[in-house]
Parts: sequence; structure tokens; C-alpha cells
Amino acid sequence: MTSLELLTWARGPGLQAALVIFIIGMLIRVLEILLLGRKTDLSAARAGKMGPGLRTILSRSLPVGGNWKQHLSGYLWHIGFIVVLLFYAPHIQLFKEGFNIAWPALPTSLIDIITIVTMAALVFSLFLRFTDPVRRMLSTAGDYFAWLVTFIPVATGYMAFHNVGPDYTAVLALHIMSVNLLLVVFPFTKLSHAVTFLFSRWYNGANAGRKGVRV
Amino acid sequence: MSKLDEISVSVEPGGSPSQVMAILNELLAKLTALSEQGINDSIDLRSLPMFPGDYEQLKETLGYGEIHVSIDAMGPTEIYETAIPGLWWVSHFNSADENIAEFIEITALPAILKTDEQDLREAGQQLQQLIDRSSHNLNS
Amino acid sequence: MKQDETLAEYLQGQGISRRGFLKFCAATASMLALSPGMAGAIADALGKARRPSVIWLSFQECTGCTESLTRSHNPSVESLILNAISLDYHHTLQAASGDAAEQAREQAMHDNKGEYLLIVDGSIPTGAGGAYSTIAGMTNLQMLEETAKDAAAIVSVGTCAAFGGIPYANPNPTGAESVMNLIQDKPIVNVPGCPPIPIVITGVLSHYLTFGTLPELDNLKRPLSFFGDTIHDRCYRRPFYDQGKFAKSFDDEGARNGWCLYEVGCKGPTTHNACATAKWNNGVSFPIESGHGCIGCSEPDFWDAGSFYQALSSSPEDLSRAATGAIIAGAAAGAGVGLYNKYKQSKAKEKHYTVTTKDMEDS
Repeated sequence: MTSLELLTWARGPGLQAALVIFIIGMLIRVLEILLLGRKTDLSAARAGKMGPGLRTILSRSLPVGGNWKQHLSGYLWHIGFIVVLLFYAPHIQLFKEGFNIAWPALPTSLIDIITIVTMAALVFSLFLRFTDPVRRMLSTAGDYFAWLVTFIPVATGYMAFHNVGPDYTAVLALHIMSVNLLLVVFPFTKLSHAVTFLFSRWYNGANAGRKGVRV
Repeated sequence: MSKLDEISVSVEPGGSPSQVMAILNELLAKLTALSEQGINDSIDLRSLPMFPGDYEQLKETLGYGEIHVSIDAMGPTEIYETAIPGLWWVSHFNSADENIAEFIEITALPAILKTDEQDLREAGQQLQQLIDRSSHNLNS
Repeated sequence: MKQDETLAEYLQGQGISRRGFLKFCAATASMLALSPGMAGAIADALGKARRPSVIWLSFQECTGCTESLTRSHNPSVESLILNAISLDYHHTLQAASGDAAEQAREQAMHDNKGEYLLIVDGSIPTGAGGAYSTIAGMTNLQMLEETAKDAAAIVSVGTCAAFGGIPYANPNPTGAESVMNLIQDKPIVNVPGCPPIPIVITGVLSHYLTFGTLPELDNLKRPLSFFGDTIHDRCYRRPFYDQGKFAKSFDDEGARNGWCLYEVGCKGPTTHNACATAKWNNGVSFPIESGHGCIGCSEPDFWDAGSFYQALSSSPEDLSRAATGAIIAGAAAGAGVGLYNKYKQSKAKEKHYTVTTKDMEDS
């Protein structure tokens, strides 16, 4: 298979299939959680549930104790990833031609810098995970796999734009294939936290809230 | 090809990013090699990705020297030395006045201007034939 | 055709002076993307070369490749090359027709056995036993195999001969094939493009004339000197791509400012060809310079690679329809899974029974 054939498949049927699997997978995950529901509350709550729940969603976003490095690194690459995904002009073109929605783009030179910061923060986060003995002990293959499928799209995207390597077509095909992989494994790995974090934070906050405890 | 010339396209030099500086620096390096080591060289203007306006700006920057040569071989060829000695602008055209190649030669004398040795060897015969014919005409 | 005279002798016989010959060699060096200093070496080599016999077979093609080649007025480098070779058979250009033409072909094949160059344009239909295209009662496939047998090398001119081209595109009703998929035992050079830039066609011939060998090829058998770079690599609009300045539609302000054409579908980044440097019509312009994105015509299957007006970053498939379908299916599946879980839960609750300490003492 030539690199052009791989690219045509990756951005065509490959992307389409990955998108379908992603949507179906995420919907199953979310509906699974929502429909299972919680046990009927047989006693009156001490304080509110919805309010504390929502508050916890926000409060869990703040750093705790001395782990500001981990926290900052996490924010840098999460925000960087989303900014590069949503505000790089060729990506917006994908949304425009695929779903008929568009918005203004950021200058490519700015996106370039943000990409570098994102990759550095991702590597730093991995470094922290590896060097902290507790986190290292807790880490499983799934954690490292999730890191890889997040890092590779960013790295290959950077390589494609900067024409790294002898075959641009192959690098671009790799970039799109890595995105397809990310989409496909998203609902079935810890990456689904992108949506489920709302539920778990809310649940913990609501649970504590009905007992009158502020978290 | 003249129909294309009727389309009015105005090109503003220096309006967009320019390759002229890079080309000038390359010429400087080659000129130094010529004066210090006697190496003749040329750059093929067709092989350089130039922005609209670069070609005109390059021509304007290099200027015109003292010598302009018109050659008629398989169509016209125009050669002139730029204001920088040793930099010759060579434009080859075919007999339909289409540009087929364009170079800037870095040399004391472009090879195409010099008379070829083979031609010189045969020139004696050519002239002898002319002399024979002329003397025959005079005598008859 | 005097096959034993050298090219230099032939050109001299045509009244081309030494200076004219030097000019021709300089232009050839430029065309072959060689350093201009090579002109002298080319002059030496060409001076001693013999005029090779060339047979040109046209199959399932639109004649655009021949048109591209012959569009230059003579004498130009292109026509000089055409004169320098001994073109012994060419449907569109030859004076002979019918049996006389076929005889000329067979004679050339016989006289120059093992040494003639075979040029092919157009794809070769293999469906219905090859009946979709026949010449003088022979199918294209038969003619190709017969003529290729004693050829020194084959040059596939145009995307149809090189990769199948437009007849090969979905659903390929004639069973069209490229030359390289049919002939595997001869050196083949692909010169794709729809059509190829004329100077690229003659560049390959010049290389053969000058060096007696075929040029260095990439993994799709295309000469590296013309197809080594992508359009994107040499595009003069590259700074706009790097800055993120794109034309959003044809003739909008960005387009009029000459900005990058990525968003209107330019396939420059994935297309290998010399358009950005050699350009068209003797260096006048090329599609991007004229405001239209590259359509990728020198790559295989470019007709089936999605719309010419869709960006490389977008998908040729209908994503919104797929997404809508997925949402419906996902909602149904999710509801199904959720309800099944609830059912399992209630079934488990049903199975709950009270256990007293007495029950535990008994067991």
C-alpha cells in the first residue's frame, strides 16, 4: 500500500468508522451511568445535593497541597491540546466540511508554540508519573497506553506541519491514523474521563453535601 | 504566445516575502569563488522558487553594465553583463521568442560567446574556399 | 533514418551551429534540474550519442499527453528532442496509416531489437478480453506485450499509462490497468501528470540520450529529478501556509492577496511534481499561481481521493450523516445497555432473601 492509499483510507473510511465507534461508545458509557442511577434516597438530605455537586466539579479543579507542578503541567497540556485541536485552521476546515460549523482560527505560528508547550507538558507529566514512587506503583499499562494515544497525534501533527521526514504523505497518514486510534479507544479506556469526570465529581460532592459536609 | 501578454497583470515588487536577498548572497559566494579560485559557475533562475516581483527586483538590483550581446542561434539569446563585473545575465529564447532557459553566469566570459575550437579549425578551410571563389570571380 | 550518425552530426546536418547546440545543452541541463555547469558534459555526451529509435503506443488516452508535448513551437528544446530521437511510430503525429503504419512499427522493432525505447500513453483495458480498445485488429494488451518484448525500456507518459488514470477510477468499467502492472520484466519509467509537464517528458528522453540510462527513480518509478519534491515543498505561497493565511473561497480577499489555497482543496502537500518550479507554458504559471489548488494529478488514484475542493484535513466521507446515524445507534444501544443493567439489578434484588443468625448457625 502506498502512503497516499493509506492517507486516502485514513481520512475517508477510517475516520468515518472511528467517529462512529467513538460516538456510539461514548453514548453507551454515558447512558450506562445515567440509567443505572443511584439508590433511592430514603432519608432527607441534611443540605443540598445539586449545589454541592456542582461546586465540587469546580473545586476539584484547584490544586491540592504541594502538587502544583503536576497540576500546572496537566492544565498546560489539556488546554493546549484542546486549543490546537479547535483553533488550527486546517482542523477547523475538517469541522466545517464535516459538520458545517466553523469559527475563527488562531495564527499558525501561535498554534505552533502551543503545540510545543503541549508536548513538553505531556512529557513532563509522564516523567512525574514515572519518578514518583507511589504514582509509579499505581500506574498500569492502561495509563501508559492512554498517554501514548494522546501524545502521538500531537507529535505527528507537529511533524506533518514541519515536514519532518522524507514522506509528508506518510506522516500525514500517520497523524490521521493516530487520531482514529484515539477516537476508537476513547470510550473504552480511562480517556472517557473527559465526560465522566463531571458525573464522578458531582456524585462525590452531592454525596458529601447531603451529609452536610463541604468538599 | 503574444495573447498572454495582452492580459494586464501588474506585479508589485517587494510587496510579499522575497527570495532576492538569498539569491544575492549565493551570487556573492560564487563571485568570491571565482575571484579567489577561478571557478566558473552559474545559477539556473528556473530552478529557484521566486515570488512574483522577485525576478524584476533581482534584475533591477543587479543593474546593467557596459556590454550587451545579441546572439542568433536557434532563436535569439540575450546576454548582458550586470553592473557587477563577472555577473552575466543570460536569456535563451527559441525562434518563437519563448524563453527556454535563463541563467546568471558567474564568469569572466560566458562559454557561448567564445568561438569554438572545432569551428576555428574548420574556419581556415571556410575562408580558403571564399578566397578561391572570390579570386575565380575576379579572374573570370 | 540514419541510425548510425551521432546526434551532433545530425544536428549539424540540420543546420544547428555549435552555439545553438550549446544553448540546447544549457536548456537541457536546466530541464533535467542539473547544475548549469553540466551543460558542457551534456554537450560532450550528446555529441557522441546515436539517435535512438522510439516507438510511441497510444492506448486508452485522451491525447492530452501528446498535446502537452507538441504544444511548444519549434525549434524549441522539446521539438529538438523529438527531432533528435527517431520517432518511428506515433498515431497522432505519423504520416502513414493503416497497414503501412503497422509495418513501420514492426520494421523498427526488428531493426532495433533490444534497443528501441517504447513510450506508452493511455491505460490498457483488460476487461472483455481487451476488446474495449483495439488498433489494427489487435487489442491494446496484445500490442503492448508484443512491442514490449524487445524494447530496451518503457516510458509510461501520463497518469493513465503510469497508474491507470481516469479510466482506472471507480468503477473502472473497462478493467483499465497501468503499464507497470502488466509488464514486469522491463525497466519502466513513469512520467505521470494529467498531462505531464512537457519539459518533464523530454527531460527523461534527454537523460536517456545523454547518459544512455534511465534516470534515478522513486518508489513509484518516477524520475527523482522531477518528482522528488512535492508542490508544497517548492510552492511560492508557502509563507502564507506557515502563517495560517488561507483563502476561504475563490476570489475572496485572501485569494486576491495570493494566500495559501489549502482550504479550497489544494493537494500540493501530497503531490510530487515539478509544477512549482518548471511551471507550465514555458514557465508562465502553474495552477496555484493562477489561483486554483493543485488537484494531485501526478499521484495514483487522484480521481478517487475525494473532492478537488475539499481540504486535505477534511474527510471525503459524509461525516455528519455518519455522526447522526451513530448518535441514534448509540442512544439506542446505550438505552438498551442501561435498561438491561437495571433489569439485572432488579433481578438481583428479587433474589434477595433475609438471612437470620439462626440460618447461619444451621449451615
